[in-house]
Amino acid sequence: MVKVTLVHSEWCHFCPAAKSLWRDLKDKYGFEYNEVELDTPEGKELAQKFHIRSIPTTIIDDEVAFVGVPDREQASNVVT
Amino acid sequence: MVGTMYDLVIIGGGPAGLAAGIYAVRYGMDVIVLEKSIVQGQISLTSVIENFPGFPSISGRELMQHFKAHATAAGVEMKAAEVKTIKDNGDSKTIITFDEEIETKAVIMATGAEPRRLGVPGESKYLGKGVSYCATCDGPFFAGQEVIVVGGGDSAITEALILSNIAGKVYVIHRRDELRSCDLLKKRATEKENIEFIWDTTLEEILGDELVEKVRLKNVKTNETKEMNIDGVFIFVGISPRTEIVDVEKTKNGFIKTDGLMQSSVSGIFAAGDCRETVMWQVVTAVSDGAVAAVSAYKYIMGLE
Repeated sequence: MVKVTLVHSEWCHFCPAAKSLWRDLKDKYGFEYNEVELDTPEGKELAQKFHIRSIPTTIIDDEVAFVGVPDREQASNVVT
Repeated sequence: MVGTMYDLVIIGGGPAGLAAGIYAVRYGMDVIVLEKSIVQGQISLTSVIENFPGFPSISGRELMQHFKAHATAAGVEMKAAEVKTIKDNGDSKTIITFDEEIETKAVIMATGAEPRRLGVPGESKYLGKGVSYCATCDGPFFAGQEVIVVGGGDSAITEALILSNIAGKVYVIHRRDELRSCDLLKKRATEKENIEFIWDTTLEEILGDELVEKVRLKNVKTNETKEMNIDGVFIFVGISPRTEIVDVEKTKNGFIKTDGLMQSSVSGIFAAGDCRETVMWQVVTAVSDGAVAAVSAYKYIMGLE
């Protein structure tokens, strides 16, 4: 089962759309899913580890998979 | 699954789509607005709007909330759905989404646009690694650092001004020797101490290792190229319409061609806002397009009966 982590923040206008998409796909396909706020120790650690310079960023199984709001079809393919 | 036949399906819930929805309801049409994300319209990403009458200064997100509240109060039905394609059956159209098929007599494309890519080497490679199309979203990563803004229109200068409050230094790269933006923005930008203009220059390549480290610039008058160390690259060179789901006549850049009634080359398919070929892509013109498109769709449907 894939592990999906969405790095997001309060100031980011794209983030609600990315959250909505991943939550919807999680309900549909059931995979491990976490949302991490950038301005938290965990968020900062992820930003440093994955050289994040843009949000939302989606990390799947220890790799940056999407920057921005993912395309639904592409995102579905990755988690199924 | 095939459900009810709508009078009108509006694809896109930005300013054009919601204005069309409000007009459609008032004309008694059975209408639904389909929006793929819960944040509607490119306008939601705009930090500040100062040219929509009635609101001297308002964020795009807030203005969009007003539009949405108005549409909801007017009785406009809205649904989250991502449209894959539109099938033209003559007097009816089938909207094929990821979850269902919706039948309708008429369609308004109000799908909007997204930032246009520059198409230079390194742009895709460093997307999210220093290349950005949204100062509000990604600006905070560049606090105290040096960034470049590519473009000379209203969007580029608005975003440069936002970045100038976060970054240490903002270079605006423009291929001409004067800005296309309105005078008010020009004045604000030239008065900012940490904004510097690099005229007659294009961005040729974005370079780096894990992250963006430098750019290669070319002076279009002398053809000289030079490398410049930089932390971030913000690109605002126009918009690219989201129109691939519909098969109608378009410009070479993908904007839907319409007449003054917002009618596309296919009867019963209308277009409004940023996805349409027009002279300016603004909230105020999108709203106007939406109103005209809805009334045109109404007249079209009346003609079918």
